[in-house]
Amino acid sequence: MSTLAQEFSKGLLKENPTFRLLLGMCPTLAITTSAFFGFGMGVSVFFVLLCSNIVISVIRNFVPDKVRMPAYILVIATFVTITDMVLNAFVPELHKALGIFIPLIVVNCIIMGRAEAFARKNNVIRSILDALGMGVGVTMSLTLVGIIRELFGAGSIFGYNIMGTAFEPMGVLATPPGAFITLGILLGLFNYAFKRLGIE
Amino acid sequence: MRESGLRMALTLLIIGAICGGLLSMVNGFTAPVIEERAMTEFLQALEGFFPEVEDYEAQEIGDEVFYYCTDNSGNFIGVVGQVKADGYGGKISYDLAVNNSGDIIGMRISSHGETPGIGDVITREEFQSRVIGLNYADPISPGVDVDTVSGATISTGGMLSSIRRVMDIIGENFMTN
Amino acid sequence: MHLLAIIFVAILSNNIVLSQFLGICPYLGVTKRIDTSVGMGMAVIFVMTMAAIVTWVLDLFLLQPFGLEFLRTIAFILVIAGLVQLVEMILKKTNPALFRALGIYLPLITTNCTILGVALLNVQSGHNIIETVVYSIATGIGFTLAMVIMAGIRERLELVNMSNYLKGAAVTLVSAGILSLAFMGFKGMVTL
Repeated sequence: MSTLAQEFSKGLLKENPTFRLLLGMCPTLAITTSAFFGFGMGVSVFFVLLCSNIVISVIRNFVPDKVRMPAYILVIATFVTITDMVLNAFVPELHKALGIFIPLIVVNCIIMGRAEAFARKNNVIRSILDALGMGVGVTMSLTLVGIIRELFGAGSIFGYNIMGTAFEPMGVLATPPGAFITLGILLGLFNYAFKRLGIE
Repeated sequence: MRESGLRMALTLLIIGAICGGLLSMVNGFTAPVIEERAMTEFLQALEGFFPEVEDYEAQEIGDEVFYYCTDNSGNFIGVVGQVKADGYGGKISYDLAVNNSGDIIGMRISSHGETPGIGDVITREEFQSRVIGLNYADPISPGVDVDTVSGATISTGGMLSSIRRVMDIIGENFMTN
Repeated sequence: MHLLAIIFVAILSNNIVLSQFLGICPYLGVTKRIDTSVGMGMAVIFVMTMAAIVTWVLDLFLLQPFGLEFLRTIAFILVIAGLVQLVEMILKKTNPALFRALGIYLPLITTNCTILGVALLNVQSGHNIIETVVYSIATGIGFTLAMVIMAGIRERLELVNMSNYLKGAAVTLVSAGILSLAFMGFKGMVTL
């Protein structure tokens, strides 16, 4: 049982896709101008990751090794397109804000990485747990970056004003340079924290 | 594994077919919702500009669309243009509403890439109030009858020159009398 | 003039890495040395242009006439995956040194979001075939430029005495932020 729990928990901290494996950095930088967008992107990646991990784990024994890449791409692209359509229909503000980064979930290294490194070698239960852990890990990381950039860049979190009216927002945090610098400093802090916690 | 070539092709074909089928199913479900939503959104904006609007007719001029609006007795009440301006961070898409005497009565920025806290002043009252009320016969020229916002000269200047251009189109095509 | 504006915007004022955040993975992974980043940049320019042309044709003659725009993502990524495989095979035969240098990053061009991103952007912004080619090449040059500058910075950063926690990706991201700030200066100079 303990190993099943580990399949889930490794994605949260030890193998956190964003801060430890440095995967899927493009959306981490691009759409985290607010906590809500970060969270929305995280959930989208989560959904695609979960679905593709399940399907790939199920079909892993039927697909010949040589064509597994195109087969995985087909599966992943299908779920990405579904996400794209559903967001466009029901959460239009999010769809507009995430823009081209929704179709680009297809090439998000986290998803292909998990398919290649995990789902094709493990059974469905383990693949689901792996996807859940990694998905939560991504969602947490993206939301965290979003919270920081929104808090200092606009003085609010999830649209609620936190800093009061006297706070002068640091507009630069909402711009591309702000994204790079925020993530760079966060990475440094996480490296430090992991070292102190003894997680290598 | 003699037949592996055939098997590979078949596997891919089957997966492809299932994926394609699934997608067209979801698309059949979401496409009408998306279309309806875009329509309602636009109608809401239209009614925000002209509460008495009853009917409208779309007209394409260049690559921009203008909506000729009429009230319930068929009288011309104004024009809404879905137009674009050059900003600091790329194109700014906006709707500009002009009433039947050629006055700007409203504008709505639908998408832009301007710098938050600086160029995005174009979405706020501070800038928009400078433009609303101007007539197509006015110069609408920075420094003459309307000012750019300092620190955001490219964003606001781009908007003003685009508004001037759009007003010329509207004056020429819709303001016949 | 319009094409010149596209080139300026794609390389400088709207740089694909520093302002649009595409291709961050190779940006962090392959910028340790200038020569490999040049190689990667060239591979990207080549694949990106080929992919943009093929997907543009595919979109115009297959997807649009049959109302299949919703299959864009899936169709484009398959085409790109095939193309990358082809380039990989050619490179393996003709230039083994470069092939070894790029190592695992060549197959990763498939999952390099710049390629799919540019293919989608071309179709979404309604570029014609000439604009597509010009935009793709210019974007690739912009990508290479950003890569080479970063590689130059990182070669020097190697010699800097700094906290172990910041070494690698963290300091690269902060440097990219400062670089991006510099590139922001080009914004608004030329508009499309």
